[in-house]
Amino acid sequence: MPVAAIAIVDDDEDVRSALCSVVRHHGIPVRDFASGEALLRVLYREAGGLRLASDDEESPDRNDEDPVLFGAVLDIGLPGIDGANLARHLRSLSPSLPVVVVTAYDGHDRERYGGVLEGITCVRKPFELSSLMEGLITTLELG
Amino acid sequence: MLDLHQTYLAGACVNAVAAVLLYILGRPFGEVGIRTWSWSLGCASLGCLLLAFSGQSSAWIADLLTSAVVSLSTVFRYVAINQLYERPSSRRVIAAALALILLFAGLAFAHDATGVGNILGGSVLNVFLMPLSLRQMWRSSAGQHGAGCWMLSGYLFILVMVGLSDIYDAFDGMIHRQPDLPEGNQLPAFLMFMVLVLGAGGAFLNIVLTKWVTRFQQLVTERSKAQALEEKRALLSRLDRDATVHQMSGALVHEVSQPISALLAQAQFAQMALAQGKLEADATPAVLEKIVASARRAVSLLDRFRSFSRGNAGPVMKPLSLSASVRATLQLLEPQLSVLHIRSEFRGAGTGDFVLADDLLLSQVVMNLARNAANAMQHTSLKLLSVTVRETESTVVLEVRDTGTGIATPREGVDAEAFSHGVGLRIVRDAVGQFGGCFEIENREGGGAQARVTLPRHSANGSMPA
Repeated sequence: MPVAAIAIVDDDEDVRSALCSVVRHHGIPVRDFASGEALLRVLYREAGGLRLASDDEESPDRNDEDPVLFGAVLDIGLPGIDGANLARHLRSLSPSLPVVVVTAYDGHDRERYGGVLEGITCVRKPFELSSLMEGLITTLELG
Repeated sequence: MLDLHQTYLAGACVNAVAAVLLYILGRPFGEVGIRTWSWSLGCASLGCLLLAFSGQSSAWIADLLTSAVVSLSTVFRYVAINQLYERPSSRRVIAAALALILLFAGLAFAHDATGVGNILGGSVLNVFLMPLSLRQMWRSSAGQHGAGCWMLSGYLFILVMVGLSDIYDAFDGMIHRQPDLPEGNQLPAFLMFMVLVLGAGGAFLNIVLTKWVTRFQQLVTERSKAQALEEKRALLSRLDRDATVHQMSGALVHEVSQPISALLAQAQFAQMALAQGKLEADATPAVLEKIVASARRAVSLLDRFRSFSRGNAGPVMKPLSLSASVRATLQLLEPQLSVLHIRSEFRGAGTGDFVLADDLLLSQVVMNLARNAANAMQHTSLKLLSVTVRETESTVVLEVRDTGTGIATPREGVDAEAFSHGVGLRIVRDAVGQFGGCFEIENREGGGAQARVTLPRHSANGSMPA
């Protein structure tokens, strides 16, 4: 029976580890990454260990033992590929995947990412854990 | 009451003093008209002297000498007015005047009349030239038509009247063959003296005082202009500083939200876990440690901003690591640069890169240079901002290079004011000047511009390196 896990991507170690603790505390398995590229490498099986529910069942390197990714919490300001574009990319791989993006501040991020963030749940930093969990749970339920 | 002899003596004195004063006080203006007028007054003084001592005698040589000197004075006066009131003196007019003198001289000699000097010098020329001078003076826009001008006009008018009366006397003498008649004009002595004072004073008032008043006004205007310019510069630099602080505060909110988020998450996690009794006793110190570390991170960011918000106090010079300051400012700028798709790279120096500078002003320098570079890279495909801090033996150098369109000035690196984004660069130059350094900006060979700020190195123990 494959387990499901949530991916948390944030380049700030303090934030990342705090988020992991909270989500784990809710009994949800977590995989954390410092960058979008690190998550994508795992999903493309370069490093293995995580798969998408939509993955082709006939795929030769599919490993049913790998946990299924069923949600992602992404920080918007990541080095390399940013959170907004990562969210978009994940959605293109798996359209039903629940994604929450944590943004730093309103106007600035809206100006920069405007269109990219459309239809994606955003939580503003600094966030109340309850609102993050709420956002996460709502998107998970929607998914 | 003065007699005629004393009047001429006094007139000689007044004219001599006026001539000297006019010459000395008029010198700073370098106007040839003033000098000519002082010559005219000098000649008048000499004429008065001659009249005082020989006017009563009928020696024809003294008469002729007086005539020459007084004529010269009148011609000088005419030329001076023309020079002062923007009109080259007309040679034709002077030639005509001299021809007139000769004609009258001939007439006077032919009729064996004495007192030729007065007729020649004083009268004919005055009657002929002074109305022209008056007209020139009042029509010109160069002089202020003030008290001096009225005084001078009165003088010139009286000269014409006296001239007419003298000519009448002379003709009368010639016709009636009364050789002793024109022994100088028939005005009362006191009035004669007043006429001389009026002439000297009018010239003095009109020329020197007007010029000095104008110069004083110019000085005052220039000063207030300079003051206004200074105020404008101060305002611009204050606005720039406010913009910097504003920009910084936006960036700071962004930066501070990071550790605060971590802190909040950690604390709420601990709260949650404690409430459910799931936080093991040995895990507690680790969580608390994380909370404290995050709080400290936020505090250190706030400390940096605190040094900026010092109100309107002047710059506070203290030893700063140039690399550290520049890096901190660039970090705050990073989100804005990335919106503009500008990639930035920074190379810092070693540990000896201390300079004596004001933290906020230094941030302004970096921010303005970055802004300038960003503006230049608006329409270029390659957008790379590379910032370097390096040390030399006695200086620390900050270099900001971009891949933009370069600076648009024919005099590269010379005149920062001429650039389209001049205000920012001027503030950079002013600030760098306050730090005792120098600022230059030039186009690079491969395209783009390079700005270089060179500051004197400050050794960590507070003394300058040898």
